[in-house]
Amino acid sequence: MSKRGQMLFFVPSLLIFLVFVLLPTTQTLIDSFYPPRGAGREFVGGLYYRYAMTDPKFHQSLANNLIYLFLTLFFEVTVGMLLALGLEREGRLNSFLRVVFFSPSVLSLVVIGLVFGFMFKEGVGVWPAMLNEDRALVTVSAISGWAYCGFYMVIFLAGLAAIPEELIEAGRLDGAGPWQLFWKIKLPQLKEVIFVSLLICFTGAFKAFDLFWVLLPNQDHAAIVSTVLVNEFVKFDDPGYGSTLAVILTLMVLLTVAIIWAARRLWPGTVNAAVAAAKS
Amino acid sequence: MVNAHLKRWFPVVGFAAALVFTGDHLALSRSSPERLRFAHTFTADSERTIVNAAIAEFEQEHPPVKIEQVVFNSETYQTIGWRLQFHGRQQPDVFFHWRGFKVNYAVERGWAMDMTPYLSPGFLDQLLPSTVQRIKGGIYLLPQSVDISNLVWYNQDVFARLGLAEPATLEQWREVCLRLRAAKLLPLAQGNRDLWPMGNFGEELLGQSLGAARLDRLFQSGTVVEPTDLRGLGTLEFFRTNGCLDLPGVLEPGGIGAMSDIDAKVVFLTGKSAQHIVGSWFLADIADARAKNELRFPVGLFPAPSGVGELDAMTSVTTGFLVNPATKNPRAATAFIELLLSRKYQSQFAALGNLSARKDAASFTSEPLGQRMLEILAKTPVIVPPPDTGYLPEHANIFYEVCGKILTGKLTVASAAEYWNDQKRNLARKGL
Amino acid sequence: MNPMTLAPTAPAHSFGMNRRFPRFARTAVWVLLASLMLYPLLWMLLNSLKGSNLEIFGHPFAWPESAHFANYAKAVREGNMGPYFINSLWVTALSAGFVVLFGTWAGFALSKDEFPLRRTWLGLFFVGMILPVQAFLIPLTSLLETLGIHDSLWALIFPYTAQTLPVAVLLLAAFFRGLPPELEEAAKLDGVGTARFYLTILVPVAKPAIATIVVISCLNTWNEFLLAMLFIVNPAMRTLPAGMVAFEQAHNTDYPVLLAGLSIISLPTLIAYAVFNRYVIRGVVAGTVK
Repeated sequence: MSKRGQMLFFVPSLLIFLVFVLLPTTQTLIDSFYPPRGAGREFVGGLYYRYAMTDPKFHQSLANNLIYLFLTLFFEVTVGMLLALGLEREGRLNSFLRVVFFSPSVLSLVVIGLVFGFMFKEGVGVWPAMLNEDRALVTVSAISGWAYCGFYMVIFLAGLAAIPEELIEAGRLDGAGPWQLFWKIKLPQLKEVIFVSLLICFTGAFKAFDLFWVLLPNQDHAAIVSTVLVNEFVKFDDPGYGSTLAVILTLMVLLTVAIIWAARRLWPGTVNAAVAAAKS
Repeated sequence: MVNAHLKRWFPVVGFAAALVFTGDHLALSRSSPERLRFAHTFTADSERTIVNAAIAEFEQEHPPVKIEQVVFNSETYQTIGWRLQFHGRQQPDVFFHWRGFKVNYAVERGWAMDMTPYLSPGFLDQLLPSTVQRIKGGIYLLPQSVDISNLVWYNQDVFARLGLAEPATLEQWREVCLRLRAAKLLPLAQGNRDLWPMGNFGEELLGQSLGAARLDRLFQSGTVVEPTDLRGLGTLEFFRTNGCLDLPGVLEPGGIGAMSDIDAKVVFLTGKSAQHIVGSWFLADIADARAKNELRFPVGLFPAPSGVGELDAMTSVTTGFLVNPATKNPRAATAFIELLLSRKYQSQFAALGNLSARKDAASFTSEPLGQRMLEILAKTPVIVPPPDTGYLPEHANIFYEVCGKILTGKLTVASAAEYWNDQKRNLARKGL
Repeated sequence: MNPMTLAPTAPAHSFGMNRRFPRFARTAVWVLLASLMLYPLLWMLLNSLKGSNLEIFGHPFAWPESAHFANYAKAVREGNMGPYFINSLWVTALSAGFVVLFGTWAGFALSKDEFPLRRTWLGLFFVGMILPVQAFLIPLTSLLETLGIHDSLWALIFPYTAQTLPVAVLLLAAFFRGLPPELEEAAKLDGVGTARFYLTILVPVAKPAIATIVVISCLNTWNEFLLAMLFIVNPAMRTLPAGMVAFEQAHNTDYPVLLAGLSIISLPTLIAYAVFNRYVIRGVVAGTVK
């Protein structure tokens, strides 16, 4: 293929990506330095950033985001891993169960939010008070877990299936019980899959929006950065502060990815080491 | 051979068919002088019937104009809907609004049109002068109703059973609530998830204890809120600490913060609580429930009484319709509003509790509760606007949060003033 | 020959085969868990057939007194679901189509070592993949107005395409790199033009990867809510998630009809999932494990 041909092939994607993702992202960065109100658009520098540093609402939403992150780590990833371990074997029942557990992941979070919102309606629902202030975050995380544990189960199943049988056999020959097999052999082999899961889970926790918007609108104690952002933009007509929050959110996401990437590099354990450990 | 051809061409034919039949969805829609969009928040079935009838009559008298309704839930409309709708391709031609901050904002942004050149002669004379507000000399809002934001609706059977009368003072009302609770009934079903229901009630309490001028001061930037200013909110604290807002088995303590006002309404209408504080528009919901045969008891109402020595104040807001200057048919748009505000349709709305802004309102409001509300409106000397229509949203929001937090125990009346001042200082850093 | 390798298929190391729990109990536990999983959906279906709010509050767990299928008719009629469905279908189909088209092009171009700044572009797409949507949400509203496509289906199609392109390009670039170079050389020798090469050789070869990408794109766009809520104001143009929320707000005291509407929306997705199950799972795995 000629050089020109390659360029031509590449340009449309680049164009769409540039116009609808990269350009707006830079614009968000620029917007965070300008106030919205009034005709004059003057550069206010770090006003919004300083405000964010002292804004208790923002701090609360950030704290909520982090709490949500750790809760979903448990409800989504850990539960997903347990499900995968339990349903590892082949078999008709297991295949059926896997399909069942994954099914909530294809549903819209809006639908899920509305159905659970019904069940937890204060005063009229089935299990009232689950969305009360002290339990709201845990409940929403549990709902996320219900929706996505199947997703992580599928990922871990793929990871488990990729483990070479010889390693397992070698371990069993050495008399390892199921728990030791898990800790010493499977877990190290799942390192890659675990890191991918952490990546998706953590970035997902920051990107989360739908469930909170549908289940807990206007609840300050349960606000997360995305909902505060959208509210600033649409309810209070302040794209300047909204953009600032967006920039901070993006930085947190990038930071999280960087941390996980670095941890992946530093974590000991390779295929050879595992085999050696199994043989000894 | 045929099979292979079919397989190849089926997707193409299918796609072409889809394009032909549903391709209009991909079109970039445009507004036209013959399609007027009417955005409103009339969600009750009974209200929709009236609106549909008015539209039908209008379309018959003004061919070929057709009117398309865009129905919003008032909560969404009030927070994000009213702005978002102006980012659409087909902005509404006629839209509903609450007088105050938002109308002024709309006028400033050029979303509202001065209707004076299109009004029928003599039309303005049919409306109560106090409801017609001139902004910069022009008429931007034609008033439809005067909403009373807080009325206490109660189950008359329960009151009769316990020998309770409508309270005349705040102290008497508190007694009534305590007696209801002692009889193992839920005195008040309130859902404050969205903060404005009880926030508007808090506004009335403060109006009664402070008066309109002092209350207004609290919402301006730079002023300091004194703890004594908020003593009116003591009633909220009283309700919370005496279990007037919760009952085991029906509503948990603190549940008021998670329940929406819609759900609270259902709790009352299904007979699970004795009273429900909400605005004059509730009559439409009562009519709905009666029509569906789901309401099993007679309902009465009384205004939130003021304490001994306090002012008689009420939170109320005028609502009405505006016309978008971008409309392609301002004459038809204005004519439609005039039709909705005509005696014929206003009397139908009046049966649902709508307190018409027309001068002849008293003559066609025959529904007893509606008449009662008109009386209350006429007799109350002090009117305060609800915060979300009267003031900057950020400042209004602080007050709503204060009330919400007092109701869920996060703040006491004593600590509320300091919280409010803190939040104001915070906003000042943002330049507000 | 290790006798253990001749053992039956069930590996003894899995947690399932713990001798402490009899097999029957173990199966029962799993079935119970699965029912718990499906419970909210069953609850939704059951209660959507009840006659009134009172019935739901009074007996939330009981079987409906009689099946009120009229709720479903009302939901479709007043919920305007037909148009919402069509809108969602168009948006999902067109964005998936664009992603596949532009993605295969760019993926192929980026699979060539000699492509200038290849690593940079791939890195850029990777960053684009992890960027949260909130990063470009706010300016997008004015951008769409400038381009004149706001409040139409195109206001969703292009941003969705732009959001799925990164993962598609990365996947396809990796896939195409795995192709033997002889493929292209043979085509050049035969005098096959670029267009025909693409259509008759590249696309068929990349079918599994394309299937994966279609699945990823559909999963992303069908249920997307944030952009759909903010960018489309015209009720006739709403997609299903935003339409659902609008429906809930307009009928928020008619609980059975509401639940009927939610059931109507969920069923097609679940049926599609049941049918295309294998592809969906493969897509998820490929998209994540990469």
